[in-house]
Amino acid sequence: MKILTTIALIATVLSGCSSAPAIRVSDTEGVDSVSAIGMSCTKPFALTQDCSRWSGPTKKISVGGQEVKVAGNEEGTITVLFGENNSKATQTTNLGFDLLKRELITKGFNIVKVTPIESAGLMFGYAIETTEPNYQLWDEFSIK
Amino acid sequence: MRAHNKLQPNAAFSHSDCQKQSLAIVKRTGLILILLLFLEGCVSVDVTGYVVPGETLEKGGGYYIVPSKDDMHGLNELLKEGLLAKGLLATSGIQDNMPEDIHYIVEYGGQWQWDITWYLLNFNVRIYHSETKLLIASANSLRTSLGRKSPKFIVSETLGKLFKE
Repeated sequence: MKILTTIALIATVLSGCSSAPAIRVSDTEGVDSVSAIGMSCTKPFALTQDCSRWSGPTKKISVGGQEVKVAGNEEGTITVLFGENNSKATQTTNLGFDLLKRELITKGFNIVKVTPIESAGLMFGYAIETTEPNYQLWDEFSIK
Repeated sequence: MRAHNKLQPNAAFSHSDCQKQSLAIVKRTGLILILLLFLEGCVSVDVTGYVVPGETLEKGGGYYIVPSKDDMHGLNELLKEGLLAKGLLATSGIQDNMPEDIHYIVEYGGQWQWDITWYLLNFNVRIYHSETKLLIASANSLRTSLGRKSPKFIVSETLGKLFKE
């Protein structure tokens, strides 16, 4: 009985931390999200630039003082950005997206699709697709 | 002597009993520590504000709140009340109906969580330029279960990171 009570108590505590849908930017309202846990460098975005099979995007950039990591596909038309990999993932990812979007729009890029990447109630990243190659743009924001 | 002999088994029994009790205390303490570790993961408060370098939020500009399709808890109204309370000109409606004199578009999102009762885990407000649709400022509140507050408090607290009293 004691064991059952203990398990029930732990389950209650854990369920308090269980996932709910993460906050997403309005550009992705109604768009199906990709699982951050299920994705890899090869699928669904075929990321050949700055992608690690273990940690995802590896290129560190700073836009407007906000640091994010990015990876790109071969053509450079898709940029995948990841925010922080912790409880602040959603806020850093959403802010990072808006700042990258600012740069893209200001420089005349046409965003055609934005796909949210989420898992466990946290927004880990976004995949931004443009008509023209955009990935090279992040070189000037690169930090080591 | 007899009395001494009689006492020996009792003393041994007491020692063993004491060991059992100590073990029980250690187990209980361990369990409490484990539970505290889980609970600690549920206590987190982080409220931040960000304004894009070079941008400013004018108090005199009109703020237009676009209701989120995912908002089932009336955060739209709380946001409007919050902005008005800070002396800002705030209205809300769908983007197509936005009046011409609006300077800023306000978008937001809330993530609700169940833990005995529903509470607002994460609240995010984003302010965009009405013409360019580019981000000007953003603020976020993250309050986990044991740090929970009322939605009205959270909205006001979050806006406070962008608009100082």
